[in-house]
Amino acid sequence: MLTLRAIFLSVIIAEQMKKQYLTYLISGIVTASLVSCGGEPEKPEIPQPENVETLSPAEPSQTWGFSSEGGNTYTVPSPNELFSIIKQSNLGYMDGLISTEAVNYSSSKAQALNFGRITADIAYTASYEKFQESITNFDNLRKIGDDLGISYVFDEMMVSRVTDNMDNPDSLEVISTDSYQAIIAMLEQNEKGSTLAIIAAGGFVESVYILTSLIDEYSDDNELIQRLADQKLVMENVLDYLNLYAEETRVQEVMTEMESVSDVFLNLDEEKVSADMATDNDKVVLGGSRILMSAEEFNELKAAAANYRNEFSNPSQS
Amino acid sequence: MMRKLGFTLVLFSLVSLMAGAQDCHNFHKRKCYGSDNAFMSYNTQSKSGMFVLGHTSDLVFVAHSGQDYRVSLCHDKKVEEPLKFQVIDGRSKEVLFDNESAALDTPMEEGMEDEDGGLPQFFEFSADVTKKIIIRITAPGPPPEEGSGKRGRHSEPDPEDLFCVGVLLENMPTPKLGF
Repeated sequence: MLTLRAIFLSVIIAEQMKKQYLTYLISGIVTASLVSCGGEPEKPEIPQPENVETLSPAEPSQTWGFSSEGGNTYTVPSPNELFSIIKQSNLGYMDGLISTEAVNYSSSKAQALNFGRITADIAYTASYEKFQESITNFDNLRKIGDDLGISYVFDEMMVSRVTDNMDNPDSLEVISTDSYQAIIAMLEQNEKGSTLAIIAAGGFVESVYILTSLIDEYSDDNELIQRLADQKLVMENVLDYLNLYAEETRVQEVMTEMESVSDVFLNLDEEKVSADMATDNDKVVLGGSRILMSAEEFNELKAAAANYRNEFSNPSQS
Repeated sequence: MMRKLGFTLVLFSLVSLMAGAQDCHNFHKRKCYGSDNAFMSYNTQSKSGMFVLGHTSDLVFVAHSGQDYRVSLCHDKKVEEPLKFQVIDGRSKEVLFDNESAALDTPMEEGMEDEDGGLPQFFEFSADVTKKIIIRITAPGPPPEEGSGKRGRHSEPDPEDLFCVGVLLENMPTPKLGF
């Protein structure tokens, strides 16, 4: 009803003005009001993926809350957050691990997955102060953004900041993080929820691919194995996030395609290591369970992540 | 013709107001007060949303081990009563923090500003293990009911009952104490 009313308004106003540019302006404003008023059609009830915990309080029909789709929302840490932590482990940069080749992808699913892949690649190269790779991939990101119809996320200020300051080691990582934030914020503002969910999935798989490749061989006492196992919680949020848009075919496909990766994560065991909450010198310390990963699970995950990212990054297969 | 144009302009203004008044985009960046600690940095899992009076919504985020976090809340000033919020363990569903209980535990000092009704609007913690955290926010007022909006539809609440809520997340590596 709201949609019809808004369209009717835009037609009346546009007719009155008789100017094409005003028609566009008014349509834009009406669209913005529609979006902010929750003018999206109500979504059917969506089945939850197996093994992923769900929350109860917010009803699915609500059109307010943290998600544009209503109710709860699941956030995914940026690849920058993971790589800034990995950087502290003094693990070396691996040449040839990622590609900086510009590739055209035809489907919106492949474009979104690879947009996510390249954001993770930039986070990786930026954390190792690799200027040329970062600049080239930023350019590749813009091209995929154009194909995806989200070129508006790259405003001139961001582009000039990236190209002017990329050779500054102190700012490379900061710019990478800021650019990611700005892109995500713009996509959220423009209600590109399902695209954003697929981007998050692509970025997550690429982060796992890079991390498993850097670790190379499994060992019990490797702190990075623990960091990798911890990504089980991120995997759950990625699936819950995708599941918000599961009525879209391309989202369903992504969820099915990444099962080889998600199954390994979701089957990881957990062991209680400390109290959920304690205090230490007036500081609240949250503990709980540690996620366990065996050598077999590590190798399975490494192969699955590499297979899936190679599949969607290859234009002939995606 | 002039009457038609006037009518159009009124409609135009109304539509513009609808768009502007309910834009909660980046509200947390504009309105939430973060930590005074210069080492704390913005976390991209921060989020804003549009709430209706009495509504409860969850934000689920992942906190990495070895990091200190601060969760700061903010909301439109047009809502006079404070937000209630809980921090819940994503696995055990145990309530780790409840700002109503915390307010009761900590009596307000004399002369202290009561802008948020004495309810703390932030929570700080150190993550010993990587954890899934649920921030459950309840807006003041009775829960929204079916058909309670002026238009008689659950999905169309009264515009006056809508307001923005922001959750600002910040983190930094946990400082190592001692030598």
